[in-house]
Amino acid sequence: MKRFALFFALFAGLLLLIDHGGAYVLDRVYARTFVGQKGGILNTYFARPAPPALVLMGNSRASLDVNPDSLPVEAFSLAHPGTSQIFQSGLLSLLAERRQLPRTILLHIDLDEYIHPSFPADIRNLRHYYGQAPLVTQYSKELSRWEPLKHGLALYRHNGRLFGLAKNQYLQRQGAAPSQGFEPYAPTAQDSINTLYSTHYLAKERYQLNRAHLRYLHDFVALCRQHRVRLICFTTPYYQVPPHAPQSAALVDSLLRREHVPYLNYAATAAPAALTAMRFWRDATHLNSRGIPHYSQLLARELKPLLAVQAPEPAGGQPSAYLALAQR
Amino acid sequence: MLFNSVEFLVFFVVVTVAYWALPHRFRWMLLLAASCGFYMAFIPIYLLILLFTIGIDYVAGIQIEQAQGRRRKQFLVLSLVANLGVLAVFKYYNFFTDNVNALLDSLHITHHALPYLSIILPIGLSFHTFQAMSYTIEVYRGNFRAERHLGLYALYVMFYPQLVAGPIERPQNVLPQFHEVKRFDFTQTLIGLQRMLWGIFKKVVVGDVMAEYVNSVYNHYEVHSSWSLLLATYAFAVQIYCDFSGYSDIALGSAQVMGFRLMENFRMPYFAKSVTEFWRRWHISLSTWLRDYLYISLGGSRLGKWLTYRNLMLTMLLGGLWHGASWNFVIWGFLNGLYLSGEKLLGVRVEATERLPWWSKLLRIGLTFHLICLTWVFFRAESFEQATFIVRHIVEQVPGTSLAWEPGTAGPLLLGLILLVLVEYGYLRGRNTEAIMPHRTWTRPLAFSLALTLLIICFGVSTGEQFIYFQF
Repeated sequence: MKRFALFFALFAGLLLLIDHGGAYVLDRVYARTFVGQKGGILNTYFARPAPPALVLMGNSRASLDVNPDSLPVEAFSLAHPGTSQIFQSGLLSLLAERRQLPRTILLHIDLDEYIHPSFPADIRNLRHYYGQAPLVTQYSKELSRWEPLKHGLALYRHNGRLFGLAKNQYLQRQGAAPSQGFEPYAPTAQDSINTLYSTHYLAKERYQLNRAHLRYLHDFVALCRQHRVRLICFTTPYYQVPPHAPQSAALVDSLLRREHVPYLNYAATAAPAALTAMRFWRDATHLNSRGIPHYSQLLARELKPLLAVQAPEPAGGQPSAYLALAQR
Repeated sequence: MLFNSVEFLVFFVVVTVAYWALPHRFRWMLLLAASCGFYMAFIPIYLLILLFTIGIDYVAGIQIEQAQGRRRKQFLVLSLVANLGVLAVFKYYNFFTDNVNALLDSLHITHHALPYLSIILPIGLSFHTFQAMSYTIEVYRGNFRAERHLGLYALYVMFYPQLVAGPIERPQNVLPQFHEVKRFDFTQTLIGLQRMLWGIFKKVVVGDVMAEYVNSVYNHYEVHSSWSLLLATYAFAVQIYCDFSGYSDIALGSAQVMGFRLMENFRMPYFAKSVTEFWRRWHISLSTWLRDYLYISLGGSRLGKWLTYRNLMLTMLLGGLWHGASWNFVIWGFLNGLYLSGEKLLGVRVEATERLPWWSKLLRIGLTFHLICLTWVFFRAESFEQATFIVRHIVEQVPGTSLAWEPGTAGPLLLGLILLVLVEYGYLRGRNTEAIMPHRTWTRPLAFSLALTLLIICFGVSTGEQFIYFQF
């Protein structure tokens, strides 16, 4: 038994040593990475001397469909493919904590999210910032009561990111320059097939509205109001409007109207005239680099009058219950 | 309480420390209480089902041993009916109802539709039911003396490492071990812990990462290209192996830390050179159970060629149904039965394939893997239509969307696969557990454990994915 206790002590000691040493090295590498997802774009954003006038947030449909350079004011894209509203709310909480909030946030609402079960595990994409942003910490703790214990191992904040980090570092060394967060898809021969098949799939999908997601959007709106950030929401077009889109949009709109948040919904009707041709699409929900300039221009045109209006003063709104909880 | 959760880690540490701290006479109580707690972490009330069958089988075992003539058989039948009855109600009733109602519907008889039961399947029901049945059958056959200690018998059924997903143990192997006085053994503890780490690594670094790809393709199978579907099917073959053998490694390892040796459940099945050999390497505790208690009871291969084929088909069909109440599992069993009968017809002998040249072995390994992959399509698909759609689309080479493997996903996966093959190849060569778990000096086990732990922290999927075989 004594031998085992000695072995275990040695194992635990070495593990802690390697864990902390490894995490120290990886943290430094991470902090020096300025290209690609998995932190690179976020580091570029934080390295700016001042926040831009507008920040674009959302999932792949925001990051791939909108070129920030086309927008009427200086813009930066913090949209991250494969993320949902819980991630956006956590990220906003981090920006607020670092005092790097822009004057305006353009938030993409993915209507598909509101017909699927919640993805609370999505917050793990921000696990690097656990303990640094109230909503990231709070959502992570809600995920599992053991999350604080897991974070006791410093390497855990790099879980699932090492190869992405290595790729970003490689690209950086190859000369890839930091961008304003925009990484479009080039058209490929597969695009029309992807568009046809995914349109067919979306049209056939069985769905049930999920109101649980509204909670994270509510937190997002409340945080914007608390920090006097102007919030504009939008939804990019589909190649063909799927059956669930009107109902999901109505659900989201019910919250946004109440909070007086402007909502530009391009998914309410068929794709705008300029985008009806299949050659503009990568699949049913994403434009390729042929379609992006058309859509970005359209969005910029409609944003102009909204950005010209003075941002509304907070209407005496209280932070959400969750937010209040996180701040305690 | 999943094996890949922090809850289990805490539970395991507390139980193991308490186990070694207690004198031998109290240890069974601790293990039984821990096993009850482990089972009740899922649905507490279902413990009553277990206690019901334990009570019946305990009495039946003693009565079978003491009674003479027909009464012995009557008690065996009582035990089998009780166990199979529980399985029938909880696992097969709704499947039966579904099919009867569909039949009535097709005959336009709608007012006699059978009602459905609104119940959740108790976790690991098929595993502990089969384990309980093996006890009464072995006592009936005179191969094992009935256990007089109710607590130890209950522990035989409920021993937490193998309670919910096997290995399906035999009384001869486990029950005598509960009577033995166990002494703490440094080497065995080390090997057990390393084996647990290895199981967790297989599950969360390889299996669960594969699952993400498989789920994205199989959940939207209609839009994917043939290559995507084929790749997802290969990925599922790896996923199910890592998931289930990973579970078995954790089960065997956690038992070994307390001084118990459970039976091996896997021996590199995808290195099999025939389907017959595959079934000697895959889920060994189930395949030997089916062989010993079903195939041989039906007459095995003693009754001539055609009856052998019939027995093989029946055994595998029931093996398919054991997995789940769905026609897909029946087809999965049918295909396996067909392969085994075909190999019997062609005279394929496992021992003879060992002497073949390397290229012939390689070809056979490839062919066997693909035959098994075909069965996995039916295993993974949610309906017969989905499975046939996927098989048809793979064969017809149709276009569709393709999921790219990002470096963030492909990198750890490749790393995990290489490590998996290297370590398990060592296992294959050594032909015993200790061969893959270095233990002779401190340096190697320390390095092996540290490497695995760091890989799990850095690359493991931490969302606590369910084990596939828990549903059975």
